[in-house]
Amino acid sequence: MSVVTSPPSTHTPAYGHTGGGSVWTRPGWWRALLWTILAAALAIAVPALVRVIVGWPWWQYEVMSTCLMIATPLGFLSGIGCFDYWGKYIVGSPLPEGHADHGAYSWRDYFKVNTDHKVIGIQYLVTTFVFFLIGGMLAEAFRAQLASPSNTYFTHDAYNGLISTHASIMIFLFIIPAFAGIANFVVPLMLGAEDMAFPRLNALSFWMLPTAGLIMVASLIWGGFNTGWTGYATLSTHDPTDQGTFFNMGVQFAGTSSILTAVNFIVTILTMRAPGMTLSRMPLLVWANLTTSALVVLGTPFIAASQFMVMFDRVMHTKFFNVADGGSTIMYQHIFWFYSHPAVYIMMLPGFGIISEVISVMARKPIFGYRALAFSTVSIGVLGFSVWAHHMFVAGLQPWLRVPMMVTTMLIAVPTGIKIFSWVATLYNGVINLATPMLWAMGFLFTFVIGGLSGIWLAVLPIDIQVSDTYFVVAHIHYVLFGGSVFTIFAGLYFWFPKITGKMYNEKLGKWHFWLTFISFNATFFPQHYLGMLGMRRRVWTYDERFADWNLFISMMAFVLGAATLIFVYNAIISWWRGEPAPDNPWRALTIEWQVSSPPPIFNFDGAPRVVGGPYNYGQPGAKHVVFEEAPVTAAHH
Amino acid sequence: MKRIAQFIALGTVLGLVLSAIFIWIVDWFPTEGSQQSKNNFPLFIAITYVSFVIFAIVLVAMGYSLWKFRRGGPSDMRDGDPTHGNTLLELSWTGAALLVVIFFAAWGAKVLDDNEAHAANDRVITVHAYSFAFAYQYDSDGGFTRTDGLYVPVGKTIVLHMVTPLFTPGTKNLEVIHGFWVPEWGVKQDATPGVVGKTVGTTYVKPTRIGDYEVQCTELCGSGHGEMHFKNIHVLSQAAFDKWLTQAKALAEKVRAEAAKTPGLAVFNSAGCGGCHTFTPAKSGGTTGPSLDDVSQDYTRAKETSKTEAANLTGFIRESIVDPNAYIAKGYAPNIMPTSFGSSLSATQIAALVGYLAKGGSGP
Repeated sequence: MSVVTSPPSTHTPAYGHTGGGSVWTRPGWWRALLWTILAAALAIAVPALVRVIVGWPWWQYEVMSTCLMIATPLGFLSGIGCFDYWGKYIVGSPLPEGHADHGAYSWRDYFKVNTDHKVIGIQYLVTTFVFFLIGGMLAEAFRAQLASPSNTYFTHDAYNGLISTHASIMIFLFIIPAFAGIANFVVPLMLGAEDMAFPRLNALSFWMLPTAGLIMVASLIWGGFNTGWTGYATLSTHDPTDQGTFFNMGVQFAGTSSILTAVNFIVTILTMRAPGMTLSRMPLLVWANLTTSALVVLGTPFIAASQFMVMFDRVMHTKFFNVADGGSTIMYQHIFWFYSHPAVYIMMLPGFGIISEVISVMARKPIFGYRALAFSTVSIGVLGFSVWAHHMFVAGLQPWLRVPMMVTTMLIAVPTGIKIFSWVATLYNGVINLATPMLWAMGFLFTFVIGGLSGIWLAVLPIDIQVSDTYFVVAHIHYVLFGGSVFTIFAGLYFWFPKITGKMYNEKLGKWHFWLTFISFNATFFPQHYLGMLGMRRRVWTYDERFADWNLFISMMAFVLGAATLIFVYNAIISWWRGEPAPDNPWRALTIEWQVSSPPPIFNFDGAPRVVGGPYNYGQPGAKHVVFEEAPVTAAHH
Repeated sequence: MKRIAQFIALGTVLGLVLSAIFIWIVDWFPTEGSQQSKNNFPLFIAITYVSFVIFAIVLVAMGYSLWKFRRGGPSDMRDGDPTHGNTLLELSWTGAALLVVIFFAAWGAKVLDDNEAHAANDRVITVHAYSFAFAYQYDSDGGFTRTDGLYVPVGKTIVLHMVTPLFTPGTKNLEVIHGFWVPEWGVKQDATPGVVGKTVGTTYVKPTRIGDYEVQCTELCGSGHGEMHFKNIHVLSQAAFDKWLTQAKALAEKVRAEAAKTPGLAVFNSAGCGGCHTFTPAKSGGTTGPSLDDVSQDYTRAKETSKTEAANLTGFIRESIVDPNAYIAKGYAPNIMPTSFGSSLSATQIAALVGYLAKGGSGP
């Protein structure tokens, strides 16, 4: 696979790439293996020693598994080299050259700690797609179970494990980080920045992700944690299958990864824009990532807290959620949803940004209502924090809180509606190129309108009370997160594939992928609205006989949906390996990332970018968003 | 502007046709079984129409552009019209969206209010949600508890308080959240541990149609969640209900008298055993777990297959209460019965219960 991102430069990597010493002492996989094993040994030995000294049995499952899941990831992260530079800095050792870990000169560099935002972007995308496939296979497994109400392929606990790990992997290890991957690659380029503000922090954020993912996937070996991705107390503090720590700690590492990335984006976007890049000249993807990052920084600590509290209740016998001892069960839901509702926008706003880029370029028109789109993004972000309790309308919420939460929830439909109408208006009088990225964007409009409208249904209290915890909700979240987020991820991947890999994807396979996915997606999820309304509740391994035909149909369509994804995987691999070389700007776009080579130079720009106009001035002859001035900015830093 | 009017007109027609198909042909709302679902129905219908119309307008506008404004081919280098927006249009759709959501929010609040209309003298029933069964306590009728289903009269508002059993402080509280949902009634309420109040954790229903309905647990509650649905919600005519109530009270009185003499039966009732287990002497009819009428046969079977180390029937029953997964009766799944009884019941209580069950329900 040719993944070298630029012609060889005079810059010679010194550290990390060729570092001296034995494989066991220099950063890399061998040292990571060694340190992981050492950390695991310590995680057992220390508590065992303490327990023996105080006269308790040396082994206790909850304690040991918790210590293991805290220590081994840290051992791995240290071993692979995430902390080497900082460590040397702190103890005063000689520091390697600042850009020593920057850029990929061989495919091996993608498997090392690398500080180049483009390498990190690719690392994110490939990793998240591996988890996407794992999460998808889990879904196919439980759809097989659901093909008939009398199937018994899995035990009840295993079934609950499948649905819980499916949702957790898709949310925490695919959708959220896949957007972070796209943004990592694209946003610094769009801003005219050489890299992210904190490249080493960026590398650490990435490496936490496979760590979090392995923790969640590892739980499958023992049947999977099975409290649902919502992990409601007291089911999660009671934890009938002893798998809760996998979810708790997986969320901690994925969450920390996202907080660090968000801080990085906020600082990068606010301080590293090229000269002339005023806020009102920022591409909408940048606005979207700025807002999303604010949501992540403000919201994610809440889910972290909720998972720590659950873990403490279980491992240390604290009483946060134990009513008999003065705890509160419903408190968990408040804390959890205070993050997890904004999380819906964390999973959607970056997608909105991608759609704005794709539609404007592919319709050859300025985006309709730039200011309204940017403002609606920010207002969704703000309103997003005032609606969390709509997940709790049947939970035993204070009755007075319900109507205000319904109203704020419904108000979010207004900025969302503005976006939809603006995108549709952008198409009008355009010159539309219906290439694969645009097909996905159009597919997104179709499915997301359905997901948005069913969201209004769910906001209306009496309807919510009828359909919450049913397949109607399952249909809604998949219309929003699959028909919404995943469709935009595909739109973005096809759109930037030439820029990221330097190769064109196969257009024919891209279209097959789209149409098969679009049809099977709607066939899988639309009937679920109907089933939920009539009485099929979610998270059950069996259901009433009268729903059998529809479920069989849904399962078959879900298998088609899975098969369609394989077309993408094949297309991506084959095109990356031996596709047509991509031109620098195949879509004739104005934003900065398209004005550099495909793939971009290792330090992004050969000249200093200066922004001279808006990002979407299509239809105005000679319009420019950016010009490059003589001196290569990067040289100054060496 | 003329084009926009055309999109709206065509979209409206298409949307109305689609809604009509879903409402009248697919028929995707459950049978109306209560005043609440009657109140919901016009709201559901209206939101269906409005949703399909909005969807169709977007689809028509998008479809028109995709059909009309396509590029000629890869060599077509034209750009589109450089319009950046249209303030009037943007304000109009913002206003329209705002009107739609305010309208439905107001209507939703009104329906919610109607759905919760009740009077001080309405019959109050406490729904005890266990892992994995429901029991119904008739608070307004003397407080007796039924584990074989919910019996209510047609045309009368019922106030349902949801509760989960609470354990004594300091013991491990293993009760989890359950949900109570009868789809035909259009109401749903979770039983969240610790959420008990006059209005919190309460739902109101006025059944309007005589018949038998299914109740489902709607909150993931562990291994037995899939099985936690029971077709034992009975809406009776007033006369039939009155007759049932008289019998139920007499039965409850009989059981209470027996329980006074039989501490084991008192424990059986207070721990909610009957919610899941049939035991004829205690007049319980639960079907989630194995029938306790057959407990001695289960012991024999367990002994024959060497699956229990209990020396005698008493030991076997004690083991099954304190450590339910030690032996699983044929045809049942593990991890369904709570493992908490060993800590939530006192030693005296367990002894009384074991003795009661071992003797087939006779004697103290």
